[in-house]
Amino acid sequence: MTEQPDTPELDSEQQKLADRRQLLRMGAAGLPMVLTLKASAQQVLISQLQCAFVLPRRVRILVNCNGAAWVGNRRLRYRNGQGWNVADIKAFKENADYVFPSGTVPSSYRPTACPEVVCDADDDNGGDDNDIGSGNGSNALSELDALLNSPMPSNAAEIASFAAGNRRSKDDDDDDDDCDPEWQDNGYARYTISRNTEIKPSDYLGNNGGWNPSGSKGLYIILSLSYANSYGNAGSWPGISCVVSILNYLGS
Amino acid sequence: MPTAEQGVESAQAVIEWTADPESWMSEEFNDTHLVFFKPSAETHFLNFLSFGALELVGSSPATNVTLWHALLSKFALSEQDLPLSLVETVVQQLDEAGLISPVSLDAQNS
Amino acid sequence: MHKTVKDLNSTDLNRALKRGSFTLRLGPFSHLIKGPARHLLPHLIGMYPECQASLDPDDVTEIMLRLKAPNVFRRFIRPQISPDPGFHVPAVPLPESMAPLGFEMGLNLSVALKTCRFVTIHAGVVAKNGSAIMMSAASGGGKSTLAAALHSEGYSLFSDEFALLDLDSADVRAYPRPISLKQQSIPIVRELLGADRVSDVISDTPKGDIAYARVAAESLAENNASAPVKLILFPNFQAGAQPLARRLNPAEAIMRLVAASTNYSLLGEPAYKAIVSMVKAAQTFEITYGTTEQSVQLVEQLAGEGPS
Repeated sequence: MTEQPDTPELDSEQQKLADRRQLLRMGAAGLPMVLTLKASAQQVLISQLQCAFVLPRRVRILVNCNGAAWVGNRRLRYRNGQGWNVADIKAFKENADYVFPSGTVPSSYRPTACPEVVCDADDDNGGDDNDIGSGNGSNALSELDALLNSPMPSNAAEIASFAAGNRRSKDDDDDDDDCDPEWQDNGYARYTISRNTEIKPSDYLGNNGGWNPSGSKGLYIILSLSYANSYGNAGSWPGISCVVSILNYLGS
Repeated sequence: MPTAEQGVESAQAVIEWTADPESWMSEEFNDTHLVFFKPSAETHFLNFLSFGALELVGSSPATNVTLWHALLSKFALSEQDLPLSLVETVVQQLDEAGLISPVSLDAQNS
Repeated sequence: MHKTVKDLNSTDLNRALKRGSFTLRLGPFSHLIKGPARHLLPHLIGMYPECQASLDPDDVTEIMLRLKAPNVFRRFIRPQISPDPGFHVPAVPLPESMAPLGFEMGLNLSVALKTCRFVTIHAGVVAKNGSAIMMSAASGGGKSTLAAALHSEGYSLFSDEFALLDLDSADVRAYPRPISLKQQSIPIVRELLGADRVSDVISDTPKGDIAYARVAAESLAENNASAPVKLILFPNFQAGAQPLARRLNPAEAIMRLVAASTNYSLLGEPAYKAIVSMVKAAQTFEITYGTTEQSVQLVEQLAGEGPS
């Protein structure tokens, strides 16, 4: 079976046009359109405004209904019809590399429902696990990640973004409501950004110097801004110096 | 009777800009253009818009407005994407870098 | 057949240094040196033992350096030296015991400001298997430590200070002077290369505590080597940082290299062509790392030498 070929030319042309429009917006906001090569502080600033960074490893972001977020790299299993693996959620939160308080994540990124513990029966279920990033947490993509990634261009940055509350419709539940306390729809949204993803914060700048985040990378920018508010340029949050340099440029 | 200020504005509006395509060498990297300008031996870093403007002015003299229309057409942009004010800014920056110059009055009259 | 520094009789060498006829051949340059032998001789023998040298100039010398007292009193009372590369430089006089620093600074000034055959770029360069890696960073950015670390892993050291870019071929030429170490990098490099390769520390200099590390004899054997650049890196050491590589737009890399060149404006068009040609044939990255081990792993990964 042959797969439908992608249309990379079209994608790259569209991307180029989008990049150009972004550059014009930055030009209207005062970005110089001609630079003369001399060692000057201005060049450093311009360079910083155009900075990008590459995530050194896969990043998973777990968001709850109150807008709190946990960032880490551990596995998070999700089973259709039953929800998240409670132990995974607990372990992820306990071992998160970074934790952001309630209210950090905008509502558009939060799950639609808050945790509901509806389960009180033990169950010997035989459903399939979506073992997301199972194993030793290596950088290999899980099957689900690969599946979700497949329609995207080869260089697409975002692997997967889904909210448990959104994806799990009532219809999905009809035949598998046997509850297992290990698997509960406990109202979390998970976002994954793959290793080596390049993030260019200026892509998320609006016309007036504000931020217009979207997608998983947009969520990463939101968390970066929150991190910068608390810690500035210090610490090891990947890409923080790039984000802080833009904030400095914008005078935020 | 127009004021001196109005006179200057009106003169600026009709200034034609020109450039000598033989005077620079360029390389494109991912829609960014590195331009070595031989008369000044300086190297400039131009984006697609400013390089497009330089090329157009190099092919035939243009005022800000004619250049604006040519750029809209060359890059398939809307007036919303590319306002005239941004073209004016680009022209000013190219002029300050010495990459373009106004067509002399003698040349215009001849 | 030229002798090496270690082959020369130290009395003769002492006399040649005082007379100003000592000639050191390193990389593409011939250096004519005059200076206070008492402090300079141990440095030359310790750091340049395998370099070709002669006691009398027998060819045109491109670089002439004199380390001389700033005035007659300072020849005798608390003696001081100033590097004199043959043109005025605003150098602070140094105690005579800091002659090695004055010597290395003087050579750097000469190469930076007098060279016209090459584009000089403030960068470290190492090479392996016929390809070079260039590392350009501001002073204190960790390029010397990174160059030393890669040198300890079997890379030839072309230079820890200057990339000499050939105007015609756009290849870099080897100029394997001793690695210049400052402050915290001294114990790190002592660990990497072995204590016997690192000079005594010169304390309280205008640059703080400094020392020099001798390059491996194999690098000096490749004294006239040149290589195309396959990787251009802009290293950035940040204590505790996770290793990170960001691919740079070649235009941005050129912008940074032009800013790091000491003679780009002087050379003009040939320098532009050489830098563009080099960058077009290379990959360009900005790298951040928190430890020396990480930096070596990251560079080897990018160079395709190590596991990805």
